[in-house]
Amino acid sequence: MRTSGRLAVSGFATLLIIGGGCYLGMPKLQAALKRHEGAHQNTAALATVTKQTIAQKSFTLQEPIALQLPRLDINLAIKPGTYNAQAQTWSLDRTNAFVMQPVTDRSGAVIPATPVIYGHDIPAVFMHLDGIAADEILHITQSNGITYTFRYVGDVVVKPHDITPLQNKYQNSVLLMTCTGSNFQERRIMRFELVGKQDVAVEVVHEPLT
Amino acid sequence: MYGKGAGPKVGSVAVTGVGAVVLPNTGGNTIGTILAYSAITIGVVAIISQLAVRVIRRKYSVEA
Repeated sequence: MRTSGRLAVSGFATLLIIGGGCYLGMPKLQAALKRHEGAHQNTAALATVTKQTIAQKSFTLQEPIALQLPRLDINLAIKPGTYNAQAQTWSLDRTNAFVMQPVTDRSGAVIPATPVIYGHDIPAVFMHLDGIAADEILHITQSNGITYTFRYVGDVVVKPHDITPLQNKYQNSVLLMTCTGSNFQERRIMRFELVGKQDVAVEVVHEPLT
Repeated sequence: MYGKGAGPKVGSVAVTGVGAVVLPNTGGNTIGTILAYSAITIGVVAIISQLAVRVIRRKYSVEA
């Protein structure tokens, strides 16, 4: 092979390696930077948010319609996620988060015992959760206007058929779930603990009397 | 999503059918990931092949 040909092949091969490396590596690098940033900012941010909420000892999640993780720039609508037992699939799309609707497992137990919100591991949904750090703040708004605030306390990675985390009852918590692994072969379940609630003030606009 | 035979493994028997609850398949861009790994593999193989050819030519003094 002539020198120019060899150079062309080398150049193209290098481009392939760099392109593939960037596609796989850049999101991981960004997530690492976000985690580092969160480790320094979250505790102070949580202290500020805690002052703005009414302390709650317990809560029941009813009809959540939106969730927000401000630092990770995640703002999503929440839809009900139902299970198709025949196909063994849950309702899912590429723009929303879904709250798991109760389903009875083989042992007869109703799962999930703790509210679970799941979504795709794509930039438009839950991919930025890779940058999560301790005390990450999560807001969940219900259809009745109440917004609950939570803080991130830890996570677990399980195989798709391991529903143990869904059978466990975690007090005053919600779980966020998405896929993880090089081929999305595992499920990452993140636990958030209740901090407090805040009522959304309804702004009433008075028309001037004429 | 999950093919036939997928399910919790009990010994070598896959538990399937109605009632076996699985977690949602919330995978991301699988095609993009496969393409990226393929591109890296092709690039590495191409460079190693070129180096190997060069080494063999030098060893046996073959003109390019």
